[in-house]
Amino acid sequence: MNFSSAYNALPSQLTAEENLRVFGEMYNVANLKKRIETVLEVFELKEIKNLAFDTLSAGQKARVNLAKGFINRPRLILLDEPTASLDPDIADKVRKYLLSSQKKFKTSVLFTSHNMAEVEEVCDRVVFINHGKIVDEDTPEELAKKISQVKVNLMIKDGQKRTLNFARKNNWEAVAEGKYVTIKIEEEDIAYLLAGLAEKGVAYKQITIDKPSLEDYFLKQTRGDKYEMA
Amino acid sequence: MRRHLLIWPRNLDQITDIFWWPVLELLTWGLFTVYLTKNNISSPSLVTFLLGGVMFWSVITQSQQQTSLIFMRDAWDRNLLNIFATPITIWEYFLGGLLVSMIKFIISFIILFVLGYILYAFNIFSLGWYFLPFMFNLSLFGWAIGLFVTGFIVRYGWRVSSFAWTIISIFQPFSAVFYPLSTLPNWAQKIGLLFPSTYIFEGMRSVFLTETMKANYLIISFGLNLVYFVLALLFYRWMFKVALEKGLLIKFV
Repeated sequence: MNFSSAYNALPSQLTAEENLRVFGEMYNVANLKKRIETVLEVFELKEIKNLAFDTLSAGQKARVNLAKGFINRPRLILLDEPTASLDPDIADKVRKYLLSSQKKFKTSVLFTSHNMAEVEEVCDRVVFINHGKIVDEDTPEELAKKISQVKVNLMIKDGQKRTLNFARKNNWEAVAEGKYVTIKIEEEDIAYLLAGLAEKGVAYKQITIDKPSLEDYFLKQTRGDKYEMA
Repeated sequence: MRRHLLIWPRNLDQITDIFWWPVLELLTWGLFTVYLTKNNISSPSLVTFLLGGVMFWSVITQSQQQTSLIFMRDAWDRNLLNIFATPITIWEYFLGGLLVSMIKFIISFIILFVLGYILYAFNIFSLGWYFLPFMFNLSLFGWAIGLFVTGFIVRYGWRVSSFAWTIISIFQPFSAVFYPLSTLPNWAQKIGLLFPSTYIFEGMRSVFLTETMKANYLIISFGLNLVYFVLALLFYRWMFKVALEKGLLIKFV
């Protein structure tokens, strides 16, 4: 197994390459020289490989830490906010490497993050921990589905009043703002809403549907009933 | 071991550990003996006792502090979780630190020997082959104390980290480093007899004075050392176990 965290460090006076060599030896990595070359390449560390760890920027340190995490091609890796201090480009590359590593080498990844979009992209199963207690566990899709309501946003051309009346009649929460009406409904009621509006002769130019994300579920879990989908 | 050896030439702290404090001690006490000799206050044996005491005490201090500092340096580097995520066991970790501390104090001791010989014509090898078991026993005691201190730091964190530098000085007055044990009050002598170091320093004086060594001093010292060392190992393992179970290592991040 291996471990990498944005909040952890490596021996400060060793260079990036020396750190990889030291940890490679601890993990007894075969053909270490080649493996170091590979991880230096993957995490774009070649130019800074001879710099002492404590002279690196936060992002560079995080990359060296990740390279250390993958030095032994671990079967299990624990990643604690691994992309916290990375710029979006390198963070994306890291996620892609992570996914390819999962596929290619069957690496199991235990991933802790507050970045829900990242969790949705990388994780097969999600465990929510709030105040030290597990509050839920499922796939990202299933967890997001636990917020059953979606938001239907309509840009009304004709019939805003009829739209609002139809929503109220069905006990749906509806808000009008300029030409726009937003209605909060169960996902399964979308067809019924659209059919009803057509029957009442409502004309709309544009329709968008905001599906709940893992972030919405996270916020609902942490804020409880006070949370409303943005 | 490699990471420690790589860091040495780049780290002023490490150089200070090896050179600065031991040499400073030797110079201070050496100059003091020069003053005593010049003013006819001292006998040649007193000079030998003092310088022998300084050199041998540095063996205990170095062994203890280096054993504890190996852990502290990883904690300062926020590197502990990385280390213990590897297949390295706490025993390999300890053994690596032990070897590094041995190399360090051997270098330090050679420097002290050379300086003592050049500056004060003091030859530690006048102890003959006793020199080796003396060194070994003192190192063993230093490592045992180092293990206890490391165990405490692992369990109780930064708040007890000053033990790494301070605790060794508690043993010094009772170990009769610079004076015979009989100088101490009766109650303090009884405490002194509990420490392996006391027998070594008494033995050292005996060899310097009479060129004979009471074998039982070495036997008692080694016996006590074995007991302390085994207890220290068990304590060290226990503290690591508790720290791992309670997730205390994360506090050093």
